[in-house]
Amino acid sequence: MTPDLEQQAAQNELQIPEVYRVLIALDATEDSLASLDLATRMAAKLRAELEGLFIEDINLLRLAELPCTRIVSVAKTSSEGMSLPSMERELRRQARVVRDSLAMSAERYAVRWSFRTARGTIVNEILSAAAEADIVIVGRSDRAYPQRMKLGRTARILSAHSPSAVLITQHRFVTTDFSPPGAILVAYDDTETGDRGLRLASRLALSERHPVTVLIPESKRTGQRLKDSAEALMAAFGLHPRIRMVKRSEASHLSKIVHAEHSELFILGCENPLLRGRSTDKIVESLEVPILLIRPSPASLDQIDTSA
Amino acid sequence: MAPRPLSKNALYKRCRTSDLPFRTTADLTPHVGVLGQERAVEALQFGARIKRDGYNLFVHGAQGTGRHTTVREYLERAAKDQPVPNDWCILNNFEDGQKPLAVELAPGRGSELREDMTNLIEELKTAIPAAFDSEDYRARRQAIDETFKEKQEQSFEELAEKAKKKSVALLRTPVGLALAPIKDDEVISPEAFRRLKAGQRRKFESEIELLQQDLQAMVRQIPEWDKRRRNQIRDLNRDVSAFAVGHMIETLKGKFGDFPRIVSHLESVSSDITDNVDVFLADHQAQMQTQTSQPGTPGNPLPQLQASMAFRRYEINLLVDNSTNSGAPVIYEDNPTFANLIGRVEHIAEMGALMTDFGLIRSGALHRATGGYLIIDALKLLTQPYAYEGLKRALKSRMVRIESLGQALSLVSTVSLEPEPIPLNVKVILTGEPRIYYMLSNLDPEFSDLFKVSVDYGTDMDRSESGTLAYAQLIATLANKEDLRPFNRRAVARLIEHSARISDDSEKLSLRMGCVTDVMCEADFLAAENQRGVVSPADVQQAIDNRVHRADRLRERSQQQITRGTVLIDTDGTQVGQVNGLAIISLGEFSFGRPNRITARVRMGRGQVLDIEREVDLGGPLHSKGVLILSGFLSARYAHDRPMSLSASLVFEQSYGGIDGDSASSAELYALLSALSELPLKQSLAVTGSVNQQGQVQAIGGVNEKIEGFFDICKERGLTGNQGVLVPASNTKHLMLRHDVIDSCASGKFHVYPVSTIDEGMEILTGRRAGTRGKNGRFSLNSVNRLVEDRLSALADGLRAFGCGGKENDQ
Repeated sequence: MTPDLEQQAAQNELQIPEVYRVLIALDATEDSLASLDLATRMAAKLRAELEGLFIEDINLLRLAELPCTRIVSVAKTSSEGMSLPSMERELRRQARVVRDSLAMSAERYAVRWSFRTARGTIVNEILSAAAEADIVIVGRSDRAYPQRMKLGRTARILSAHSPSAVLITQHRFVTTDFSPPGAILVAYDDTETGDRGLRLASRLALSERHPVTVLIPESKRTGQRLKDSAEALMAAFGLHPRIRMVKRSEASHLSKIVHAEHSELFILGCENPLLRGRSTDKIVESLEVPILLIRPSPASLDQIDTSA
Repeated sequence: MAPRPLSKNALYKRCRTSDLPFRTTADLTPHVGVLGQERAVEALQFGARIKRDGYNLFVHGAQGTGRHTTVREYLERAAKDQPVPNDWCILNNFEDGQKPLAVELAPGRGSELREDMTNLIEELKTAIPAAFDSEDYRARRQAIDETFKEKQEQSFEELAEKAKKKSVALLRTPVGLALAPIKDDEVISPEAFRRLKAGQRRKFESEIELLQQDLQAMVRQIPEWDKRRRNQIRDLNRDVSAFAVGHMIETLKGKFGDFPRIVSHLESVSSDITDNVDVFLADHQAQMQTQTSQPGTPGNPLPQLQASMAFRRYEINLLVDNSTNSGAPVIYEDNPTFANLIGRVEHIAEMGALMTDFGLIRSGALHRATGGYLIIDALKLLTQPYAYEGLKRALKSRMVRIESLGQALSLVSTVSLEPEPIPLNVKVILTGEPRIYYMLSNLDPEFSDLFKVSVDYGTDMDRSESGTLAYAQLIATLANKEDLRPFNRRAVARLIEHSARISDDSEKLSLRMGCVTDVMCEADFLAAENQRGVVSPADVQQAIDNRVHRADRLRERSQQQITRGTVLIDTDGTQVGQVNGLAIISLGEFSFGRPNRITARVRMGRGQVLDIEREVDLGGPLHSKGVLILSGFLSARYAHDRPMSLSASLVFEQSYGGIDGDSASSAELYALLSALSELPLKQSLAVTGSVNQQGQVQAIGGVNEKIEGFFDICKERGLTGNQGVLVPASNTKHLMLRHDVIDSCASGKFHVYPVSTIDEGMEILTGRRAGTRGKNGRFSLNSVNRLVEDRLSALADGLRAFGCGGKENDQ
């Protein structure tokens, strides 16, 4: 195919949405609401529908009914009991807060949106909903452990078993909020996830003219071919990325590369050779920026061991 | 012997062209200085030079004497050689925002400082965000946050692990943290919990109780950890911002090192910036969002607005800027309101509320005039509420304290700004009419302490030969200044004559140059209309006539009332106890004379002369005084040895608007004497002049207008040659009559009689000798005085007889 034809094909491809639905799991925490802005902007860039999901955690409802449970709060000097109706009321209040925030954010960026609540365990409900979405967005830490630095259980399970791509958000520093548009960093390889990641990166970069850096595993055999392929694919979108070859020795320090590239988002296919022999969880934990993990194919919920 | 009518030359003092050695005013050198105001100029020079408290000036003189112009010109000349005063800046007080600081700087340094501070803030708007976006800062900030997070996480994890070992989970709920028994990582359902053995339930309960105590202890520590984290971040922010700000502030401190208060302020600015870096970061963030947002995406303008408001605190409010002045300031405050003099604190509407800050403090005229002169129109000052009080307070305290009128009067108790007062070093010059000066002197005890120098502008000057020439030079100067055509010698002479007429004195020249200038401008206009390059006397005369014509509608109407017989004035024949008095009516700048019929009636009585005008409150005090004086005259002359058995009434016929002044007292006496003597008075004559108890006729004002007023009536009815006016002989020097009056007098159709005594007047009015007392103590037979005396004697006798008869009857 000639370059002109490639460009024409890319332009045609742009007319077809790559992502139809972005799912965000929300609770009323500050981090969750901060992720909402990122999710709405992403949905706007991808011209996708944004679906908000609020889960009434079954564990919280259970503990409210237990006679021995006591609530400890920084706002109160003494602990107190909790009843099921009051817990349900609190959860409904949070759902309203979340819905209103979603509506406001979607309206600001002119994004189609929907919202629903579900009752059950958080992981199961998100996994269930993720089957209907192209991208699912979750916070890095679990609700149970506020501001926890380690990857939460929900994020961990989704990164391993989500049938759709998973965007794991980070708590961001205030100073980065007013920086110029940061780079989109995408790891490219010759797998299907690598190809999808690059296409997503192109679509996201186009809207706000983000600079794009493509990471390619250094290889005498495939390195040049991947580089040419990435450049050609992005050129079709009118983008001219920076290509950075990553040695195997550098692969264990991906966070440094992400930092050095002033990235705003890191897109990584789950089949990327850079991940070989490394824990995805560790990589996610080491990053300061949101990471979009491109999952290979829909996974069966039946096969998932959610107790991991 | 009755006086003879005045000759033509006595009625008008011509300006001799031989005294004017030039062809036109273009040949004259302009007049230097202030003509005829030597006393005022001397006082002005003294007042402007003396540097003592209270030596402010009050320049008073009639309108049009040029007092304002000459004062301003003199002060501007004097100010040029004086040093330029310092600039004054209002600065934010970082310790107490309600009390802004006032700082003095050398002239020109204020604007320099203002510009430097503006540049500093603009530079910091990029330098501070850049410093906070640096790798170094991010790393240090991240380290602090992570330390805090790690500590918190570690504590939570330790507790969670400890709990897990006891099959208890630590969970976050919408209302706080909770501990719950678990099985297979799931919270035990209530049913399952109830199915547990009692011992197991108690065990869970006691375990949770203990864990809860640990949790509470940990939660209590969180605010302390967070406080420590915030302190560390604040210190870090201070370090980073101090680094970004430090060298810029140091540069400014070096530049303004000779002003210790500015150096101190810059240190406060530096400290405040390091404490408020968030403002700079928020502003930068808002700007970045504006730049990067897509068109059509609604932005939030609030952060940028808040930031721009916050930056105001570092600005310099240059209250007094003397950077462009070349000497001491001379300020004329045209609208001397309280706020315009003292300064004001303005407000702006912000989110529906009125807000203010030090940047909205505005200077007053007193600030701008500090180190120089402030000229204020006294009448305008007095008509502005509390402006005079505010000025006096500033002069007394030698400080200008900017405050609203509400604050000054303690009417408003809302919190507002209290700027530091500024020392006052100004010479205030009030200008106004003499009556204002005398009124303030009399009524305000502080006035004389604050305005010790009186600059008295006279209204006229002597019409000497040298004075006439100097006046001609002044006319030339005015023509030049007003860009008028040259005036030829005869036109100048006519202007000088007109000036004498304005001053109501043939031997004086008016210094109310405003009136003269108006005539000159109008004459120049007429010359232009007539396509003349030089203004002629005809133009000047036409201008004067036009001015009179524009103003004399009421005079014409008044004259018509007389000529049509509505107001009864005889100009021919004779009448007993009736005389034509002359009154003057002033209509602003224009005044005219008008005859009034005065009648007197006498009868037996107790020596009372009844002033009907006074009885009905139409007569003023001066008029009443005149009537009482003539009573004194009658008693002294005719009834010194017997009672005044007279009751007389005097009235101004057809007078409805009130009357004052004593210029009609001689006329009233003539009417009274006529009524007593039953000698008819000539109605072809009119009379003016006041009288004293000796029977001497005294000078009055408006003699020209009065003569012309009666002349116009006579002329309208036809001059007979018998008509004329009796004027006090002492008014002869004031005569500057109209040319038609003079011509009629010259041809014998009208007469002006100078009268020194009542006797002279009676002789002219009756054509009979007044009579003097002979050796026998009696007036000569058939004389006016004899007839009066006889009548009074008869009245006294009659009264005595009437009194005796009355007593007999009573008995």
